[in-house]
Amino acid sequence: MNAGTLYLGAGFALVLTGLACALLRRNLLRMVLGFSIVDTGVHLIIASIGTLTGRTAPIIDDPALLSDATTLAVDATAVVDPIPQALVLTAIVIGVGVTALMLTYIVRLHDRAGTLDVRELRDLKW
Amino acid sequence: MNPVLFIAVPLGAAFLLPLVRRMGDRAARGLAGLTFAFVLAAVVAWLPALGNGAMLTVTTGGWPAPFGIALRFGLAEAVLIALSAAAALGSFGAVSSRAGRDATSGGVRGLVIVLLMVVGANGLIMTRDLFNTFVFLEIVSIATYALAATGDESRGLEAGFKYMFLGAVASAFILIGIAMLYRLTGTLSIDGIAESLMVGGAGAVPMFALGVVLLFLFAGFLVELKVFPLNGPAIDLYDGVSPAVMALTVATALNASVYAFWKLMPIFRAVDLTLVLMVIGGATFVLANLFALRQSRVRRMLGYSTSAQLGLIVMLMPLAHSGDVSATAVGLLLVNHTLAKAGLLWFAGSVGKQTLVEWKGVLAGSPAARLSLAALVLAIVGMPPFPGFWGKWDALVALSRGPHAWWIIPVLAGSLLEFIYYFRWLRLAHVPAEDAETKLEPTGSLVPAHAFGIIVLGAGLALSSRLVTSSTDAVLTLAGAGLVLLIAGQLPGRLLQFLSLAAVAASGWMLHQAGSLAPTSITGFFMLIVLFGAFTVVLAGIGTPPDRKRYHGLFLLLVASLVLLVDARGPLGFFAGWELMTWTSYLLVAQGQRGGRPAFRYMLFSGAAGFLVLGGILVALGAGVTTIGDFAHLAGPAALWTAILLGAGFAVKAASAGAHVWAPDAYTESPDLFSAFLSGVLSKMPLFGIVLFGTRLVAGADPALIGGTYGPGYALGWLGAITAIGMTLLAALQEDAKRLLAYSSVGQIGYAVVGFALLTPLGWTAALYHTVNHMIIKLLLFLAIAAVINRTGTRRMHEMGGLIKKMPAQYIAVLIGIIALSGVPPLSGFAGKWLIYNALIEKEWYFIAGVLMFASVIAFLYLFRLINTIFLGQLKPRHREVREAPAVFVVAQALLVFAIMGLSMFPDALLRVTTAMTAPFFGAAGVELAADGSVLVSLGYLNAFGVMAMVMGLFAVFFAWVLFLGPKTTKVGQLDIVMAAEEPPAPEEIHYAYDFYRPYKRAFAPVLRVSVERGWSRFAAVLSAVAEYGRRFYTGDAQTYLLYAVVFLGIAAVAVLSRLG
Amino acid sequence: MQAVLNLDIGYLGLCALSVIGAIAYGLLIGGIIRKVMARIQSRIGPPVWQPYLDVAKLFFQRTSIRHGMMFYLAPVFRTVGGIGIYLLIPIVAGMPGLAGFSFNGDVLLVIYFMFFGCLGMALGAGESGHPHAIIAVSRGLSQMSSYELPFSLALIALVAQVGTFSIGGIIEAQAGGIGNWYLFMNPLAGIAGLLSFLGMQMYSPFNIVLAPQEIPIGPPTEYNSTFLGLMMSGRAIFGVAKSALFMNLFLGGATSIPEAMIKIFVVYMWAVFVGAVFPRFRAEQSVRFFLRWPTWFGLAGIALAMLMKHLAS
Repeated sequence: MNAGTLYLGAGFALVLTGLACALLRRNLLRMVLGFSIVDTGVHLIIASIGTLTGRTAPIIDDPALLSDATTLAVDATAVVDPIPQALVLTAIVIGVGVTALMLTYIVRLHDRAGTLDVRELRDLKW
Repeated sequence: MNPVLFIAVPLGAAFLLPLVRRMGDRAARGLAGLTFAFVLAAVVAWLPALGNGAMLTVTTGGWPAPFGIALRFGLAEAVLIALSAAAALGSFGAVSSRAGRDATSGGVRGLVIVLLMVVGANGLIMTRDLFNTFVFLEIVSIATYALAATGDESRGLEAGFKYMFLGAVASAFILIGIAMLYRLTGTLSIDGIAESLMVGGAGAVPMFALGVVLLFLFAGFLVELKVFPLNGPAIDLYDGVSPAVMALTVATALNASVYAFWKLMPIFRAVDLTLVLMVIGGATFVLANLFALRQSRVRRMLGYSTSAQLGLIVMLMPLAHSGDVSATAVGLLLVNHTLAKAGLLWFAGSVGKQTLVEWKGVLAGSPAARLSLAALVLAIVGMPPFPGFWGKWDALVALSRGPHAWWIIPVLAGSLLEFIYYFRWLRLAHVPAEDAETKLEPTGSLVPAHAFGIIVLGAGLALSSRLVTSSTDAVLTLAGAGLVLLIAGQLPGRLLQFLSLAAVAASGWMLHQAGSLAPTSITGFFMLIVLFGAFTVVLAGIGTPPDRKRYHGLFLLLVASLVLLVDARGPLGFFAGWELMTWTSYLLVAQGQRGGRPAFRYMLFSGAAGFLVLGGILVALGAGVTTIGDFAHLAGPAALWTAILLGAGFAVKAASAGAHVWAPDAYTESPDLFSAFLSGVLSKMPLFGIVLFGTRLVAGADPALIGGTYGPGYALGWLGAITAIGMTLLAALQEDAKRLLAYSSVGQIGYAVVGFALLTPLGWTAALYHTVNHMIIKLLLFLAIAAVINRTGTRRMHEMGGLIKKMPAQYIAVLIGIIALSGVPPLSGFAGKWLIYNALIEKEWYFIAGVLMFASVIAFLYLFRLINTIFLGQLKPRHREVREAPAVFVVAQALLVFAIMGLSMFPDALLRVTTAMTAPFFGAAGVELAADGSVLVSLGYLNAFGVMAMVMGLFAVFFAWVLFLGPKTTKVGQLDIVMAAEEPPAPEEIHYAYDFYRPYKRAFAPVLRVSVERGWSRFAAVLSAVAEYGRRFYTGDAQTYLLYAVVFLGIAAVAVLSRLG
Repeated sequence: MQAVLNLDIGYLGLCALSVIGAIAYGLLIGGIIRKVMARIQSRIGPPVWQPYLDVAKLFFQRTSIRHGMMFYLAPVFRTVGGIGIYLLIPIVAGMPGLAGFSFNGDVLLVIYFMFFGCLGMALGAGESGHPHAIIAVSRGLSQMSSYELPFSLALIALVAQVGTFSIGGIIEAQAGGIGNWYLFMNPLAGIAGLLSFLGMQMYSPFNIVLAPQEIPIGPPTEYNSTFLGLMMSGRAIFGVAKSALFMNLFLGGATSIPEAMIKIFVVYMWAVFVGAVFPRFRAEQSVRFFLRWPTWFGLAGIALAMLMKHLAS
C-alpha cells in the first residue's frame, strides 16, 4: 500500500466521519463541523491523486528535475502532478467561504430563533 | 467581440459597484442595469450569426484546451446567456421598485450578488473545463445562498441554511468526482475526458472505479437539478425566499446547472446512466406534480412545479444526448420553463399574496394582469402556441418512435396533474369581484412578468410557422382580429361584435377562395359548421352584445383555432388546433359571471381528453404514420390502441356518461351567447375527430372486423346510448333553463356517438345528419334562451311564465326548435332519428335501439317543460314590461329557422353530401336517394317532403275551418279561468312550474341515486390523500434531506454497479 | 316530391271519405264504450249516439273564449295530428284511399307523428294558464315516456324478425293465418305490446291525464265550442288510428273493411275491459308499472326474436 492509497483511504474515512457527524448531531455548529470534516476529507482525496512516492514537489529548485536543460522541459517522472495541488488550494478557499457563510447563517438564525437545534428548523416542509 | 466579456463585464461591474454607490443608489442601479442591458443586447445581436450552428471556441490565457480553460459559445450558450441577462434585468426591475426592495432588503448591495450570479451562470454555461465548472457552480451557489439570506424573513434563513447545507455536501461530492476523474483520465477538459473515455474504450479505464467516481459527480449534480428525492431543500427554498430571487435563480443558477449537466452527458454515458436518469426524472415529474396538488402556498407550489419540470428535462436528457430525442426539443422545454416560471414567480412576488386563499379574487379588477397570468400558466403547462408545446410534442413524438414509448404515460400523467394545480390557481385569481376578499395591490412591478409573458408568447408564435396550411390567411385574419379586439375591449360591445362579424365573414371568404369549403370533404363539411355557427352567434351578438370586455377577442381566437383544427393537414396541426381550442374555450367559459369553477372543471376534463387524443396520435406516429391519411395503413394492435385512445379522448370531450360532469356547469355558466356556440359548434369537434380519424381507420380495417354485429364499436355504442338516456333523464329534472339545454346537448351528442360507433355507412350518415341538425337546433334554442335571460334577468324557469305574450318570436323559435329536436315529423329531427334507428336495427343492435327510443321519448319531457314553463302559463307581474329581443337577434334566429325548415323538407340534400363524404371510406353509401326525394334504406323509407306537404295541407284546412267557420272568440284576461267557482289567486301560485315532473322523479328514484359526481369527488379525495401522505416525505429536516442524499447515492451505486457486473 | 304533387282530386276525395268514416266510427265506439261502462256499473248510460250529439252541439256553438295564439291553434294541431296518423297507416291492405298517405313513411313515422297532436294539445293547454291542464300534461308526458319503452321494445323485436319497418311489409309477413300474427309468433313481445297499448289508450287504470274528479278532464279544461268539437273528433280518429296500428303490427292487419272494423273494435275493447276492472293509478305508479313487467316482456321478446332469427339462419 503506497502513500497515495493511504491518503485516499484516509480521505474517504474523513468524508464518512464528517457525514456521520452532520447526520447525527442536532447542533447546527456541529453539523457545520461535520461538513468541514467532509470538506477536509475531500481535500485529502484530491491531494492523494497527486501523491507519488519518491517524487518531489513540482517546484523547480534543482536542475536535476529538468530533463533537458536547454528547453527547460521538466522531467515528468521526477515531480508530482501540480494540478491537484492547484485544485486543493482552490477548493480550500471555496470551502472556507462556504463555511463562513454557513456560520453567518447560524448566527442570524440564533438571533431570530434563539436555538441551535436543527429540529427547531422545520417550519418549511411538505 | 469576445464572449469572455459576458463574464468579465458583470464581474467588473460587481467590483465597481461599491465605488459607484458612493455617488448614490441611483448611479449604482444604473450601472447594474446598464451591465445587464449590455450583455442582453450583445447576445441578442449575436444570435442571428449563431443560428446556423456556428460555434466559437475561446481559449483563455493563450493556452489551448488541455492546459488552458476553453470557453465555448454557440446558439445554446447564447440563448441561455440571453435568458440570464434578461432575468437579471427583470429582477433588477422588480427589486429596484421600492416595495420590492423592502421585500428583499438586499437593496443595492444585493445587486452585487445579482451581478456575481450572472458571472457564475454565464461562466458555467460557457466553460468546457471540469474544474472550472466546479468553480462557477460554487459561485452561483454561494450567490444563491447569499441572496436567500438577504430577505428579512426568518423563513428565508431557515430555507437558505437547509439549501446551503445540502448544497455544500453536494459540492463536496462533485469535487470528489472531479478529482477522481482527473486521476482516471489525466485531464480536466470535458471534451478531453469524454474523448479518453470513448477512444480508450472499456479497457482504458477501470469501469468499476469509473462507476463509483461518476456516481459522486452525478449525485452532486442531481441536488443542483432539484430532482426527486433530493429536491426537498430546493422546494423549501422556494417557500422561504422571495419569489423575485427565485425567478433570478431559475434563469441563472438553475439553467446553468442544467446546461453544465448536459455538457457532462458524454462522460456519464461512459457508464450507461440512461435508465437511472429516466427513472428519477420521470418520478420527479409525476411525484412533484402530485405533491403540488396539496399546496396551499403559491410559492411552494411553484417550487414543486420547478422540480417537476426539471425532472422532465432530466428524463429526456440522456435520450437527447443519444439522439433519440432532439436536443432542440429539450432546449425548448428549458427555455419555456425559464420564461414562464420566472414570469410566474415575479407575478407571485409582486402580487404578494402567500396562500391560494388570499389569491382569491385578487385579479378580478385587473384584466391585463389576468391575461398575463393566464398566458404564463398556459405557457408552463405546455399549451400551444407556447414553446413548451412544441418541445413536448417533438419529445413525445420522438419517444413514441423509439424504444422508450411507455415513458409517454408518466409524461402525460404528470402533465395532467400539472393542469390541476395551475388552473386551480388561475381560477382562484379570477374569482369575480363580489366574492373577492382582497383587491390587487401589487407590492412590486408587474412589468417584468408581463414582459416575459410577451416574450414567451412571441417565441411560441415564431415557432408556430410549422402549422402553415391553405387556411393560414383565414387563421391569421381571425387571430389577428382577435388580438386587436382583445386589446380594444373598451370599445362598445355592438361595434366589437360587428367587427367580429366582419372578421368571420372575411375568413369565410378566404377559406372559400382557398377551396376549403367543399361540403363533401370532411374538412369543408365541418368548416361550414364552424363558420355557420360563428356567423349566427356573432350576428345575434350585435343585438345583445356580451358585457365582458375580453369576450369578443377570445371568441375570434377560438374560431381561429377551430379553423386551424378543422383544416389540419397532419397530426400536429390537429393536436395544436385541438389544444388551442381547449384553452381559448376555457377562457371563454371563465368569462361567465360565475364561470371560474365550471371553467376549471372544463379545463381538467378537456386536458384529460387532449392527452388521451395525444396518446392515440402517438401510438399511430410510433407505428410510422406521418399524415392523417396514413391512419388508413395502421394495422393490428397499433390500430386498435389508436382507435381506443382516440375514441376515449373524443368521448370525454363529448361529455359521454361518466365524463359528463364538466358539461352542465360549463354550458350553464358560460356567457349566454357562448353557450350557444359551445353546444352548437364546439360539441361537434369531438365528432369531427371521430370522422377525421375514424374514416381512415375504418378504411384500413379488416372488413370482417367492422362488418360483424359486435365489432370494436359496440362498447362505444353503449357509452353513447347510456349518455343519451342518462343525460336526457337528468335534463327533465332541471329547474335552470340553460342547464336543461346543457344536459340535452350532451345527451344528443350521445346519439351521434352511437351513430358513429356503428361503423356502417348508414350509421355514419345518420350521425352526420344529426350533427348538422343538432347544431342548427341548439344554436336556435340557446339563442332564444339567451334572449329570454337577457330580458328577464333569470335562468330559473319557474320564475318565468307566459312570455309568449311578450316575446312571440322567441316562442316560435323555441317551438320550432323543440319540434325539430324531439323528432316529431314533419320537422328535420325525425329524419335523424329515423336514420339512426334504421342503422341500429340493420346492425342488429336491438337493445341500444331500445335505449335510444326510450331516451327520445323522455326528451319530450324536458322539451315541453322548456317551452311551457317559460312561455306558457301565467305571466308574472314583474315581466309585464318585458320586450322582444332586438331585431338583429331575431334575424339571426330566422336564419336558423329557415335552415331547419329547409332541412325538414329536403333532408335528401344533406344526405347527398354526407353519403358522398363517407362512401369512399366504406365503399358503400348505405342510403338510396330516389329522384322523387324519397330516402330509401334497407329497412324502411321516408318522403320528408310528402310528410311536410300532408301536414301543411291538413293544417291549412283546419286552420281555415276555425278561422272562418269557427265561433267568434273573445280574448279573456290572464286569470280568467275556470276554477270551480273560486277566484284564482296570484299568477305565481297557479303557474304549475317548479319540480314539474315530481311523479317521474319519484318513479326513477332508485336510478337517480347513482351519482357520477360523487364518484369523481371520491376519486379527487383519494388523489388528494395520496398527495397529502406522499408529500410528507419532505419532513423539513435538514438531516433527513441529507440522509435521503446518502441513501440515494447508495441505491444508485447498487443499481449502476450491478449493471457494470 | 312528385308522389305528393301527382295526387289527383279523386284520391284526395277518397281519403277525405275514409277520414270522415273513421271519425264516425271512432265516435260510435266512444258511445258504445260509455254504454258498456255504464252497464258494468249497473247504470243505464247514455245512448250510443250521444257523442254525435255532443260534437254537433259543440260545432254549432257561436261564441267561445281564447287565451292566445297557441290556445287558438291547439285544436288544429290536435286534429291534424289525429287525421295525419290515420292517413299514414294503411287500414286495409291494397285498398285505395284506405292506404292514405302511407307511401310517405314507415312505422317509425307513424309512431313519431303520434306526438304531433299531443304536443299541440299540451301547448294549448299550457297557454290556457289553468293549473289542472298543466298538471295533466306533466302526468301525460311521464306516462307516455314510460309506455313507449315496452312498445318500442316490442316493435324492435317485430322488426328484427320481419326485417322491415314498412307497415305493408309487416302485414305481408303476417299473412297466412292466425298463427302468423305477431301476437302469437312472438308472444312475449306481443304481451309487451298489449300492455303498452293500455297506456296508449289511457283508460283506467292509466287515465291519469283526463282523470275525472281529480283534475277535471285535464288539458281541455278551458276549451269549449268548435275547439272542443275538433278535439273530440281528433281524439276519436286518433283512437281508431292507434288501434289500427296495433292491428297491423300484432294482429295481421285487415283485408277488408269489416275485418278492420272488427279488429279495431276488439283492440279497443281490450283496453276498456281492463279499465273497467282496475282503479286509477297514481302517476308514479303508472310510470313504474310500465318500466317493470311490460319492459321485461319487451326485452324477453327481443331475446326471443334474436333466438328465432339465429335458429332460422
